[in-house]
Amino acid sequence: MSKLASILDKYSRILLLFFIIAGMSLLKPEAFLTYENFSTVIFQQAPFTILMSFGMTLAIITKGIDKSMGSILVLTSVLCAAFIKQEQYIIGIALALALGILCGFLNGILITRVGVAPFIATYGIEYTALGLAFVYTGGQYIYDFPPVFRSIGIGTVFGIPNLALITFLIFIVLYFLTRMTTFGRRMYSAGFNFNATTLSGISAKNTVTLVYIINGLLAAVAGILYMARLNAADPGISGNFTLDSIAATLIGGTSFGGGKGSVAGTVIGSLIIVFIRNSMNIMGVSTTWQQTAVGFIIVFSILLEAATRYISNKAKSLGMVSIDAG
Amino acid sequence: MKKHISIMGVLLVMVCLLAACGGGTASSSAGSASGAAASGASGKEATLILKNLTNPFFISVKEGGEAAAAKYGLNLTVLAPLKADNNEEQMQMVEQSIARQTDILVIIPADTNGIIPAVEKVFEANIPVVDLNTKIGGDKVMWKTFVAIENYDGGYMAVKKLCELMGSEGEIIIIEGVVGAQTSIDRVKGAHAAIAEFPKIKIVAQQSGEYNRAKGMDVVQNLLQAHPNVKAIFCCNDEMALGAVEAVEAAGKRGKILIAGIDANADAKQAIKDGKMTLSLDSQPYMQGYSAVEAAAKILSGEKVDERIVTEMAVVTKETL
Repeated sequence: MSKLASILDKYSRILLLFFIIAGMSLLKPEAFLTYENFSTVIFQQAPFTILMSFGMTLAIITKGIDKSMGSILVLTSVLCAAFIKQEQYIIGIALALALGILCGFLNGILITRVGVAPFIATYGIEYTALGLAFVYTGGQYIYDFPPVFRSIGIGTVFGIPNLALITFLIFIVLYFLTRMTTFGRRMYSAGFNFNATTLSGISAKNTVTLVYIINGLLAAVAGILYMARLNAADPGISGNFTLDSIAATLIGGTSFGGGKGSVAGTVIGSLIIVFIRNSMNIMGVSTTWQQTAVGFIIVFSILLEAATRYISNKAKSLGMVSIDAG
Repeated sequence: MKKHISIMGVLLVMVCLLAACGGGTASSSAGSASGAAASGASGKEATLILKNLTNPFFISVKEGGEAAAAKYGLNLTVLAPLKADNNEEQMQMVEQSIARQTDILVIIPADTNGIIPAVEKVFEANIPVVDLNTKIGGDKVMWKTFVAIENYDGGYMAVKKLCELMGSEGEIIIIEGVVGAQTSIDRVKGAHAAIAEFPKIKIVAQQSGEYNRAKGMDVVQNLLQAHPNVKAIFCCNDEMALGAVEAVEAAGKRGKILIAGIDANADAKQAIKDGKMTLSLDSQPYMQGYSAVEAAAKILSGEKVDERIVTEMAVVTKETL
């Protein structure tokens, strides 16, 4: 039984993604099942959802949440846009990264040292960062960047688009960081039981702060890539990311209870969301239904998680009974 | 030491928050400029509430409004939601304006029907309302005048020109604005009317890009997969059209697909000059803001204004720029 639970937990998302792809391949093979479509979705649209969802996943693993990433993305991108436009790439990018780290650091300090709940702290930073972005731009778009910079977003290395390559590298780093380092183990432990982790001599506070710093950095990187792709720094895009990244994280099997989840699951979750959008566009389904579908899949994956927990609990109690009987 | 760090952290955040508040509500005042034309409206308080200040369109509306305010000696306060097109924030701004006892309210509702309860309060407080750009819903006419282009005509004008440039045949995609927004519904209706005049032009897809550039790009990218032979794309505003430009470029189809938008904002004009975009429609946001605040000044000085003030539009192409 518990074996069933772990199989369900491990492969159900991959199965769901497979069903979406298989279904669409049957319904609209000529538009969906093409190299162009897959490369557009996976290499161009998915990386942003994936990068932002990585941050959300780390935050949720520590039993927190990071609402601020979308706004940090906006603030860092509009601030560096002016430098990029004048071909001051290194200063611009360095400034964006530094600012991302600073915002993440503030989140971390507010949460771990001041003791503000993660939702509230990141909510505050979300508003602050977005407000500053508006002050700086006066709400205007910054449009049209030099081709050298744009090649980050649209160029390729050995035939693989840069966007996908950078996202993949970040995935490898995060996978290694969460699975094979003491930091990773501390992060899961802090999410599972913050106080017990602190009592066992680990600075859970520093660990959690570092998680939010990583998130700030991820947001800044995503911001730079987004500018290169969209050819504009847009103060109005923050809203799309937060909901999508929470959805991708939940669908990817990370539990809001903390201490459980993985960046690999999040990749699958993000792909599910991006493929749903793509499928519905191709099918000509209206936007309102797209929202409904994403919502439905979130509920579905939460139910799935509850079901796995129920099955494994039942298996445990059954196991105890059999020991007693024996 | 730890305590110091936390105190510093809190202080820093507070400073940031203060800074954010300043820009957050995006308020500004065009004071009663010296040399203002003497009128009965001189020195009175007017409030202009916009959908957002992220779209250059509304920044032009704001500038036009401020120019009219300066001319008639109105004290104009301009407000816009921090989260673009947020009805809830707009409602709060309306309520605050009543509390501040503004003499007149000029508003572009983000949500035609969502704003009704707030406007009812203004109506009950006997504060006159000028409805700008987007209609306020409901059966009861609670505004003195409605200043706007005819969005239906706009959609019609832009798409008719686009169809002619298509050589009167081929496939076309329509990208709508925010679902349920009246401007988008009317523009799409106008577009359909224009396309109906060209029997060889077929609408192969119609989806929402939520009036947003990034969203517009993703949607067009996906649609190009389903409809590779499409000849033209009509977007209900320029932001989405600029997203479509990037999507078409990414697909390597630059110049092969005609792209039309509405608003003729600065970025779009640049894209038209560069040959990336085909045409746009100048709904002259500056004049919309100006006309609305001018109407407000006239109402305050007791003059009669028409119930409907139509502002002009013009098709913008590479040739007219």
